[in-house]
This record gives sequence, C-alpha cells and structure tokens, in this order.
Amino acid sequence: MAKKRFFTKKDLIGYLFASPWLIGFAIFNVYAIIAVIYYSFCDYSIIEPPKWIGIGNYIELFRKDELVPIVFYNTLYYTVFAVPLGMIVAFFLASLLNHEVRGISWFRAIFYVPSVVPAVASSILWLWIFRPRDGLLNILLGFLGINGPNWLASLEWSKPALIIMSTWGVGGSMLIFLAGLQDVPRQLYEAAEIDGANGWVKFWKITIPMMTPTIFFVLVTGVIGSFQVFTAAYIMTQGGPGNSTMFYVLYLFNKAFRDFRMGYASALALILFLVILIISLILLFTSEKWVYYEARR
Amino acid sequence: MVQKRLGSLIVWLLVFVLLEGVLTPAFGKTKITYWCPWGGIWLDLQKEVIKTFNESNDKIEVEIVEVPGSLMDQKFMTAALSGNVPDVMVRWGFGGFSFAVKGLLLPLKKYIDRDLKREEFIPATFEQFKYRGDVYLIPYGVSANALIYNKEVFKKVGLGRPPKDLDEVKAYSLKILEKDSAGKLTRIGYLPLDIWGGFINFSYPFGASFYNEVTKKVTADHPKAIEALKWMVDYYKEVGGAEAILAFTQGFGAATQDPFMSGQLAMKFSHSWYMTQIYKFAPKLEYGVAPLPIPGKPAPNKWAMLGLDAICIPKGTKHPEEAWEFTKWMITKGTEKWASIQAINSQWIPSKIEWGDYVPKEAFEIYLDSIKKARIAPRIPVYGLLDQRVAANVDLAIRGKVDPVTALKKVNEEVQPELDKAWK
Repeated sequence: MAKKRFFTKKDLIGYLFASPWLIGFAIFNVYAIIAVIYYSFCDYSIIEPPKWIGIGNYIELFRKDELVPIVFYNTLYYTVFAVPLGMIVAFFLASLLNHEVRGISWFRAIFYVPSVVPAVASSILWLWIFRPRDGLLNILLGFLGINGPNWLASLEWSKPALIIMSTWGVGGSMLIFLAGLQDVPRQLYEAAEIDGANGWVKFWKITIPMMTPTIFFVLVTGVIGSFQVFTAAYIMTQGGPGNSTMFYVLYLFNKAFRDFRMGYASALALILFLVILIISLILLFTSEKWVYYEARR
Repeated sequence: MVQKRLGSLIVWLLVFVLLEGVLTPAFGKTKITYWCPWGGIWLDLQKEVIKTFNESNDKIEVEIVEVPGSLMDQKFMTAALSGNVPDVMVRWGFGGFSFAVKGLLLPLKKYIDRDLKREEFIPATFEQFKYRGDVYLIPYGVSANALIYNKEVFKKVGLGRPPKDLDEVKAYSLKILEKDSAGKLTRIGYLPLDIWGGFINFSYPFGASFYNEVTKKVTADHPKAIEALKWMVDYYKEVGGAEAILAFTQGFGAATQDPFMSGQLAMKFSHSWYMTQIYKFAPKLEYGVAPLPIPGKPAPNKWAMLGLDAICIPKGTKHPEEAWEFTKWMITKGTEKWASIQAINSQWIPSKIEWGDYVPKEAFEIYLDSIKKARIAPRIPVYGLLDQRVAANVDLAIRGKVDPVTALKKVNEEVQPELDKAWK
C-alpha cells in the first residue's frame, strides 16, 4: 500500500474552494481575536498607539471597577431565566406546530415571523407593550385583576421585562425543535401505543430522550447568545433604571465606543469569552450524562 | 485595433487628469468636505444651507457628507487614524471636547481673533470648548431653557400668571395634580427630569457645578447639586411618590403621545425648538412662554445650561483657510435659516432669525435672554459618562434606595478615575 502523501493536489483544491471563507475567517476573526488579546494588556484609545500596561486592565476589572460585579450579575440573572423560559416556550410551540392540521405551514410561518422582525423595531414595539398605564401587558393583567408593575421603569421588574420580551425571538429555536420532533422515529410511538402508553408517558419516555441532542444544542447556543444580550437594553433602557439593565456587553460597548477605552473593553471581552467558554465546557461535560445520541448506542 | 483604442483612452485619461490637476487650482473652486450629523428633513435643510454658501462663494465648493450623529465618534476616530479627515464637521452636543483633548482638532483662536468680533457672540460661544488657552469647537445653533406652560390647564384650575420661581412651580404643580378614582395620576404640573440634559441641567439653576477646573475634580456632590436632588426627592414625595410618577411618565412617547400636548403635563422647562413640535402635533394648544423659574433669588451662576451642536476643523485638513472661511460663515450667516426653521437661537447675536408666527410673541425675547445667561456644561472629555452615571445614581436616589448625598458622591467615585485617565 502506497503511503499517503501529507498534502495532495486534491487537498489543495479543497482548500482553494474553501479559501474565501478561510481568508475571511483569518482576517476578520483570527486576527481580531489575537488583537483583542494583545490590546487587553494595553491602554488603547484608537488615536494613540496602544501602550503596554501589563495586567493593569485586569486589575481594574477585578479589583477596582464596582460596576463589573453588577453587570455580571445582571447578565447572569438574564441568562438563568431567559434561556430556560425561551426553551420551554420554543419547545411548547414546536410541539403544537408538529401536528398535522390544515394550514399548519401557515401557523409555522406566523410563529416564526417575530424572529424576522429587526431587533430595533421589536424593541420599539415592546416599549409600547410595557407601558405601565396603557400598555398591552398591563391591560391584560388588569383583566385578571392584577395591578401590573412599572416594568421598564422599575428597578425590580426591568430585567424580568426584558426576559419576557426575549421569548418573542424564540422562532429560531422553535424551528430547530420542530425539526428534531419530526426526526423522532414513528415506530417508537407505535410500539409504545401497543404497550398502552398514554400521551404523557410517550412524551417523557420517548420524545424528551430522543430530543436531548436538540435540547442540548439549543441550550448551548442559547446560553452563549444570552450572555451577549445587548440590543434590547441598548435601545429600550440604556442600562437603566439605576443599573438594573446594564448588561455585560452593553457596558463593554460603552467603554469601547463612548469612552474610547479599547484596551479595557478588550479585557472585558476576553473575560466574557472565558466565562462563556467555561460554561459551555461544563455543559458539554454534563451532557454525557443526559444527552442521548442514537448513533452511539 | 483594441490596443489602439486602449491607447487613445489612456492618453485621454491622462489629459483629463492633468487638466483637472492644473486648471482646478487656478480657475476652479477648492473643494472641501463637510461631515453633517443630521439625516432626513434636517439633512435636506442642511443641503439648502450649503447650497447658499456654494452659490455665494466663488473660491470654495463645500461637499456635504452625511455621517449619522450616533456614529460620528467612531467614524471620525477611524478617519483621524488613517489621516483622511473631513475639512469641517459638526458634532452633536458637548462630545467634541474629547476630540480637542485628544489633539484631533485645529486650534481656532488665531482665526477668531483675526476675523470675528467676540462681542457679537453670546458669552458662552468661545467658552464651552476652551482648552489650554485655545478654542477648538464653536456652537452651531444654540438653545437654553424657558418655561412653556399650558394656558388651558392653568385656566381650568384657576391659575393666572406663570410661576416666577421654583417654589411657585411646586405650589402650582400641587394645584394642577389630578388623580383618577383608582388613585392613579392623570395630570401633573411639572416633572423635574423632563429637561434636556437631565439632572445636570435641572440642578444648574440651583447654582450646581459638576467639575472644578482648578482641582480637576468631579464635583457631583456640590452643595447646590445636593440641594437640587433633595428638592426633587421631596417634590416626588409630595406629588405621590417616585413609583407613581415613574409609572405615569414611562408611558409617554413623542409626538401625539407627548404629555404636554395632551394636557397631562402643564409646565415644561423646555428648549425653544419644542414649539415647532407643538405646532406640528397640537397646533390648537393654547400655551405661553415665560422666563425660566429658578430656585430662590437670582444670581449670576443660577441658570440653565446652554444646549448646542458644535462645528470644528479636524487637524490634518489640507485646506485650513478654506475650512475656516466656511466655518466662519456657518456660525454667522449660515445659522440664520437653520435656526429660523427649527425655532432655535444663534450664537451670533446680529443674526436675522424669524421663528414662524405660530410661536407666541414673547417667546423670542425670552429665549434670547436665556441663551445669553446660559452657563456652559462641564469642560471634561468624559461628559457622556458623567451624564449616564448621574442619571443612574439620581434614579436610585429618587426611588429612596440611597440618600441624595451618597448617590452624588458615588458619581464622583465612578467618574473621577475615568476622567484622570482621559486627561493623560
């Protein structure tokens, strides 16, 4: 058997075809990531050349900056509630849309539409929904006899408001769940039915286990996404009232593009990257306990 | 055949380039670029203003480039880094000061001394952007606060003349206050934070000052700022509590939902351009304009802040003289039409400015007086940060989460380190 050459002509052609992406990735991602690491050790205001200050930015970040714990807490709070809530809503909708009823493709489209609405437009829309006195949400709560809170104007309710609003964009996860649901083999349900299983049992014993790879994917991407929550707070609350919706990336953005402290913003970005990386790894390791891959049986 | 055509094309191109290079400086106009932060109808109006300049000047041709105001800083920083700066630009608000500190702007004092009469300008004109003895930006269109009050509401509750000082504003407001059967606010006299510039500007008429230029310290806990915050906290309590007021104000939007135009808010410490909004969305509203009510007795440092946009010439322009020529026109004649249509004032006192006849007769004089008395904003390169930290901490104070003194001291702690870094 001839020894395989390290790099064949075929390989080259393959890389050539992939080169537009590779070059783009190298310039816009790899370079940027390396630059962020370097700048995070510098005092850099864009105008003056970066000045090396060692771990000065990190000392400030961990020791001196009193807002960092607050923005981190806000972001964690958002993630802990928004991700599970979004998953439950998306899963629920996907289950509903998995039924063969007339016009189902229309329903699927309709539930996906909010995800297509630009974030800025939906933020403005939700500003209206959250209006304390005559907003849709408080009017509905009024019918139930509940005196709705001040939502975005309230220190306690501004984060929950943005979490509620985040369910508006579950269309993407919903589609992924829907695809997952449609991949669950029919014969499993049929076999269960023959054994006399009811719908609840089928859901917990077949649907959920078969869906775990999908659930895992949505969970990881959801956590990564919500640690970077930005647009809604940037447009609707600018971090207020008080510091209650000052999320990590919004704070980073302010440091970078309002105060022009790129070095410090780079340090913030790198720490966020590490936090997300660690959380993703933890999820990945625990996943072996609960995610079921059919191929690995 | 093809080669021949290509050859002649190249020759022609060369001829054009040479002609352009030789003839334009000799006979044509010098082209300069102007970065304009406004879009939409304001951009159209700016284009008209620039057209007037281009038609009246036979040496300079200004090309207008729209750079959205919200992206101005980022775009300008990148441009400055690459050396490809505009010749003239307008920056919204006070933010341009940080450009001056970073050394990105052309010092203008020598041109001002050579070509302008300082006494023809309102006092703050050459003060706001003074840095190390020179001037780096000049206001382009200014406004300051006056009282705009709803005459219909005043009549309904039996009030006559407008309030003269802040205590009267409070007394009037309590009289105007109205709640529905469920106890929710439906009408209020006055909202202290409903003012351009937020708490900083609200506390200016108390005599507050947020920066000490001698010690280089942020002074958010200035005794007068504390007094202002205490006044506001008390006021909120008296009219029904912070939460009730926040619920009331959170619902407000622009245009047709504007609380003043819908009669839910009776007094506003407003800039003059607001009157064009009233004309547009509530043309039948009966309102009056009166001088800004201040707390206690008048004093020279007890007045509102001068609101403005500012024009400047970036360092690195290839045509500083032409850029100045245009800038000079912009801050004098060039503000007239711009200010007239928006119902704002000009920094140049001899300006011929005519607000429409939809504006109350007394308004122009009152506003002119206000801008002449107006005080400058803190001359610091981190104004945006100060503004945001003041807003966040004041917010906590009016909700009773922290006391006023602690809240304002916190602002100092949060802004001072950043300011120290920015001066370096």
